[in-house]
Amino acid sequence: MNQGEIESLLEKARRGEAEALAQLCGHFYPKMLKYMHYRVDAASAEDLTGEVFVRVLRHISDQKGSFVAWLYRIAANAATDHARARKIRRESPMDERATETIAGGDNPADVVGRQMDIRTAIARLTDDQRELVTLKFIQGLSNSEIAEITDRKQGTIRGLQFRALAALRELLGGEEKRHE
Amino acid sequence: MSNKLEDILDDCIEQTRLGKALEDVLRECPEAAEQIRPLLAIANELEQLPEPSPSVTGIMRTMAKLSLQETRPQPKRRKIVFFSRSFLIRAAAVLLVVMLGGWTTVTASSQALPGDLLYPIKLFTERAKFFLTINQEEKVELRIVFSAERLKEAVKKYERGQKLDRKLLQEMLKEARLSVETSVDLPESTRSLLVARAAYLSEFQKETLGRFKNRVKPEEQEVLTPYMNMCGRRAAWMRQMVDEDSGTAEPQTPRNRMRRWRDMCPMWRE
Repeated sequence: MNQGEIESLLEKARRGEAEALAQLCGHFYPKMLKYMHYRVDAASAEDLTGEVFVRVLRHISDQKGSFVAWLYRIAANAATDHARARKIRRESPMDERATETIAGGDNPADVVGRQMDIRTAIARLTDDQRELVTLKFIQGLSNSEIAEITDRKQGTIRGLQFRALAALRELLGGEEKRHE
Repeated sequence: MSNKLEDILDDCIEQTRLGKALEDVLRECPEAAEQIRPLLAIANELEQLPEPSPSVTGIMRTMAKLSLQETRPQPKRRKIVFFSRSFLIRAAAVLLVVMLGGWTTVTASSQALPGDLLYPIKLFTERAKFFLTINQEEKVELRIVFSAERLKEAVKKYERGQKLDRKLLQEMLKEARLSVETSVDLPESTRSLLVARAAYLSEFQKETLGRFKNRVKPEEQEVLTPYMNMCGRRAAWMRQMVDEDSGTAEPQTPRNRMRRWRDMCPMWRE
């Protein structure tokens, strides 16, 4: 779906055409699920994705500006509310098992193990770093899109990106050393 | 140094996103290559992380959340539950299909009947449309459309060779009642017009049920009789409401008006 199609559907959704809203929700559901999966945890991801669309349904008539940025802000707020409410431990049982895996290799089990290590490491980042990593690398957004969503300057985003990747390197290096 | 590295890293990420090979990108910044290389490798790994698959249960819960949204403006009213659990399971399955197969299905669902695979989508679309409608007058009109639609579905379903669906007839009455209740705080002229329209609908439904009664099995004719009578009595009461309403000299609050209407129409809650 290109930007023109999104704008056209958005216009219809604001006028109250439910089909248009449903089409927008259907298009963004997998993206929101992926965002929540890595931003919060796998167990809560689907519930929070549902919560995002409830908020979309409630406020679509007031929506202004970039829909994508607005949607991600809703998702970010839902994730923050969830973390506050539950004082979340950011490792799911799956993440804990990940610390027992061995990194690297072409073996499918190793690949899955490495992915688990990465998820564990993401979960240990600061909230700002995790948000940046999720938006930039998991969602594939550009710096200017992230700037609009997070209300940060692009220079700040570059700094945060550097620190997040460095922290991940440290965390993943630590994992690898423990397994040696 | 740190700022420079941040900018180099960002530039390298952009270039790899454009399809340039990692080694080619690093060759352009030899002074920072050793520091940037592991960070780029991690960035690349992050971009390769797998997509979670939406589960039927997850979509089902989302559907439930959306369908449980308050659809009336008054805060004290109860929430309306549109879907039963088994209904939601079917709806979730359909939503999955729709997500994978395209949203033309939503339009196709408009002809669906209860028991059809697409019927949950039809109901969901109706509720979403109602929720998204801000104008109170349009909400009343939607209620009238929903009421007419439920009777149409009941007749079509029966003609398909299935049993008479009492639930649809109950929904028909409920939507007609809600259309009048929703109009209670509108300006007098608009309110009268809409209640008159609801009265016309009830009259039409009475006549339709009368014709329908002649086509159903004898044992089911008795089932239809109370619905037919109810529509007729309601139509008469609604017309009286409009007359009384417009003839009342003293100003009334919506609450008083509603109480008055209910007093005038003792079968209102039936």
